[in-house]
Amino acid sequence: MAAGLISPEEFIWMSKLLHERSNKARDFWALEMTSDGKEYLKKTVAFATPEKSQGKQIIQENKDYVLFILSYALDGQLLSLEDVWKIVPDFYRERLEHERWTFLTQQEHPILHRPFYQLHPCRTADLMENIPQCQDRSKYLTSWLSAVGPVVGLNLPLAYGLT
Amino acid sequence: MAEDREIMRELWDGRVPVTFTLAEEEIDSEQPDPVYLMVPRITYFPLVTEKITKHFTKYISEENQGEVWLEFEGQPLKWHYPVGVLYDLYNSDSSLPWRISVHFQEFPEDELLHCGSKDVVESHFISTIKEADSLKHRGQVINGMQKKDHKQLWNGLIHDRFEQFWSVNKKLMESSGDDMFKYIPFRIYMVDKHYVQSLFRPMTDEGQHYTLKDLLKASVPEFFNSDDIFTMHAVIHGVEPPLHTPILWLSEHFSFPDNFLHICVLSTDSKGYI
Repeated sequence: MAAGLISPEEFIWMSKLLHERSNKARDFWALEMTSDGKEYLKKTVAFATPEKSQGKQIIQENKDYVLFILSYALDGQLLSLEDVWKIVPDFYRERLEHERWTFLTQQEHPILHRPFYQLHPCRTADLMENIPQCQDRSKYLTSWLSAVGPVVGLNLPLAYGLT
Repeated sequence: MAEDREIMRELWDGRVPVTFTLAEEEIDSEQPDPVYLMVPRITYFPLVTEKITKHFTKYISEENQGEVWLEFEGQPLKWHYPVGVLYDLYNSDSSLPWRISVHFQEFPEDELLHCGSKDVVESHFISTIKEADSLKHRGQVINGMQKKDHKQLWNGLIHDRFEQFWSVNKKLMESSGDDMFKYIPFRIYMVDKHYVQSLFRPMTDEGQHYTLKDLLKASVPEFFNSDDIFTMHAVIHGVEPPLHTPILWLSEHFSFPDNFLHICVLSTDSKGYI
């Protein structure tokens, strides 16, 4: 495997590790299973959005380690893509303006088969290759999540670094 | 490089005849005339329905003009699957033309992706090609291309220009030497079930080609009987390729423009109509 790539087996191992660590860090990712036996990690976060005073967000990740999010307002309505774009912090705004359609769009979730918002995974391997910590495979997924999570308001507690 | 251009051309030119009718429950007063259209199998509905939408909106009041969506016999049609896949999957009694209802109300957002503009289709199309290339070449070919090459793939599709599309696509379909496909990008569709997608190599470690039958056996073993006979029909682009066809050849020649092999597994015969 090239430095930035991981195998499916490695990914399963890393997911379990992330699950354990998130519990220790009291960040609580849940390991869920579909009716046909496919596993994925899930996390629900509530936070304020610029427009609506409160929003709820379910963040999921599947075995291709792509970050998928499902965003609801408190009244149960799905947030529109435009609303989700508004969640993206200012820091990433320039990129979003220029690459709107290769950044964060709606896609069918490959395991749950319903519409989700997907953070495009392009060049993940290049990114991971340039993170020195990813040489240590046990830190790979934490590094990845800390790099891509903040784009959709998902910040990793520092406690992950202690474990 | 992919050969057998005649086959690729034939698949590119495949059309299905469709009648679009305004959904009965959404008719305000008079029933507008249906619209008849020969729709390319390889395209996506939002790329051909603009005029149809315009025609029907003349007959419905403004407050009822929500986002347009299509339905066939109660089944909302996912626009992000190619037209030919939807046709093979759902029009099982193959009555022609294919009668599709057009809706402007109650968008089923638990099932369908929103599609506000052609940009959304382009984004979906290119990201599917990227996914396919990350399976075939670890994404190295598509990431090595320039933005104008991505545009050329897209323009080839929407303007129905076979040569323009293939002059770029042939690089993505390169499967010799170091560029040998690592995995086959495929999805298997079944009625009333979710599609199946998994990692499948084109050859054994000894260099022997896997066949369509091998792929089906690995992905949908429940459709093989105790005599190892496949009990369903595997249809791609409206035709049923022989089960002993090498899967690499199919991937090179029978993939849709999005670079995926979309296989419908059906209980009825193929319609032999492309």
